[in-house]
Amino acid sequence: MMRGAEAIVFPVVASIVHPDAVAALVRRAYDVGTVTDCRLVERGLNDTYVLTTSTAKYVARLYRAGWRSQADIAYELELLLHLAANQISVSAPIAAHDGMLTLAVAAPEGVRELALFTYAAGTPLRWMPEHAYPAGRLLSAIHEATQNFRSRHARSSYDLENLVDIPLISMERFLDDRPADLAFLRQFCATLRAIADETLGDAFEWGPCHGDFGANNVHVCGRGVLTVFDFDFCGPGWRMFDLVIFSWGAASRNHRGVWESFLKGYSEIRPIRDSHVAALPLFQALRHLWGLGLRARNATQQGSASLSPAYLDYRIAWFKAWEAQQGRTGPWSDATTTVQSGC
Amino acid sequence: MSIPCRTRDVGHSQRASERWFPVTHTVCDCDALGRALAVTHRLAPPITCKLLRRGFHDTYLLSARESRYVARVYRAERSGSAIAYELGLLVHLAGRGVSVSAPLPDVDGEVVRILDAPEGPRRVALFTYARGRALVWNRDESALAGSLLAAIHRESNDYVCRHARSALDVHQLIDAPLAALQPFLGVHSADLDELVRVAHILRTALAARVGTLEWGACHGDFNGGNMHIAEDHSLTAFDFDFCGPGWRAYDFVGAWRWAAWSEPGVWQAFLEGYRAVKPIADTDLTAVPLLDGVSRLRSLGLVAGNAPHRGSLPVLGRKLQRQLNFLRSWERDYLAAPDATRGSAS
Repeated sequence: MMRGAEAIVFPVVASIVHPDAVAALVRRAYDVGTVTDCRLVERGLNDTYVLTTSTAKYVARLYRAGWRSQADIAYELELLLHLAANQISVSAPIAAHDGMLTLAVAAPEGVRELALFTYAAGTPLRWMPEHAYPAGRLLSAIHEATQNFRSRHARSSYDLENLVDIPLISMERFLDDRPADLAFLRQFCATLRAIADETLGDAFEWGPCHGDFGANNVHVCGRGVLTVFDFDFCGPGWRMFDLVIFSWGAASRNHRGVWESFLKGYSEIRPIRDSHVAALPLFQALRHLWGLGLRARNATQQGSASLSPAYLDYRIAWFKAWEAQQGRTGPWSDATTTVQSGC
Repeated sequence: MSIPCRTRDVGHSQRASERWFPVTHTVCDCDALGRALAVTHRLAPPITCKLLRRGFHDTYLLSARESRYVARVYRAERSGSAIAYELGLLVHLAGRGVSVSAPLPDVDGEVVRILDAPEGPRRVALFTYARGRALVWNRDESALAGSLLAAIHRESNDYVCRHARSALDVHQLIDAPLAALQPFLGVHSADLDELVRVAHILRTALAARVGTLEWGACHGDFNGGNMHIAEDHSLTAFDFDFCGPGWRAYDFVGAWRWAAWSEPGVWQAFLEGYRAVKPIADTDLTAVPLLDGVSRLRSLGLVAGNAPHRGSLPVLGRKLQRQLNFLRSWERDYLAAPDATRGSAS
């Protein structure tokens, strides 16, 4: 009775593929030994499985249908191969028997790409100076190693259109019943764009970014061996943008010295100007706006509860506080670091 | 090399199992769901339907011309009889005037329909929308919540259902969670030993009391997030997904826990609100701290049991440790004062 006239089975927009099916596909398509266990570890924008085989552990990622383009994924995987070739410890993609880095999986909602990665051993980074310092070095090494990275695949970049304009458009229909907030957000976006236009540009270095460099995407193994993974948010952007996630984590944990250690580690490989660190609040605001747009664009698959009235209140208040503070101090005129908390 | 992968434009004569990779769960297209429910429930256009959250089941907000509704698409493995018990209870309560988000019958008079999802048949129900915002545990709203819970308990005393629903008993609240957690803890881990020990304390303490506790239909997850309060102060309970026959005191755990974090008098207000509608014995209330511990173990077990759908990461790592710490602090408090009633049960 519930069937639409056009479909035999009810139309769906997302799926969780059975772990046994993932294991069977990997067993057939890759040279990884006998798969003894495969389990879903995380359901996110993409779904992540950990496979144990007779030889090693691996991570299989099933990209969501219709989320990343083939070119987006190809850029990400090429970037990872480039980093691995430059001795950066990353969870790197593995080629199938036929040399391909991705396989197409026919899911009910459409084709999903599967990629297999080496497993990043260890446990998530902890918010302490001893871990923050090598994490800073790691991010810096990623940036250093990708200075000359070129991919023939286009990947959408963290430019102002993607950071400001598109999030605003995506958010509009979620603010239908909050006209005052919508008006504020429009004005805020205009302000932010004006500040960004004036401040950024050539003064800030541009290049491949990880996009989500925080504690959950870096594993620590033994005594200080760090491995970074999950480049699903990677793309060309201002390099300072890549420091935002860590700055929040460091600020919200109230652990002394975490941020300083991170910056020290970073600047040992690539010097970082005080004036650029001072511009961090601008990148934080851009990242929050982008994150809001991400929630809006994923509401159909992940649910709109992530844009609950309480969350919208919270985020709008954050933007207002930001605007008030930047309006008072003027942007980035002095060299002191202001790390605003609240992620 | 042949990879078993076909695109979706294969002939429709094939069975679903041959067209796709096997899936354990899907998310229905919200527009298609809106269109389907508009027909089965004769809703007035324009219809908009959006996914609210992917939880144990998937919840949608449906807006028609004059009203709003909530649609729940149950997970495929939730049995028809368990759902029939839940929906029957809600129809029964609504019929008695208890303010709950109730299922709406469709054009055939049915409150549940089957949707043919790729992972198998899933049941769908359309509920009335609970107006307002989430409850705040202050004295006023706590009293309203107490009265609403009492009404749910009182009016469900004569609810009879021929459909079986697992009871909220020792098996479901203690043994099953422990079993669900074991694969995540390893056979010889200190955490497992600790959980087994705490579970033993819970089981023993509960066994000594069960004969004296009031038993009947329970909400099963009576917390502030599952009630909405409107501007006129009318309170509506929803999400009876964890309901079942159980110890009534179990439904007091939410208020008990929140009262510890709220302004003084919240627990007292809750009890007064409850007792204004229906009596509850002191022996039941003295069991609430014990059931608080039971509930913590159960929450852990639910997350573990959900791992095939949500991933194992939420069970492992720091979240597990945080939950274990909750259990530890519960044990400390409980052993210090097993019958703590915050001076309010007498």
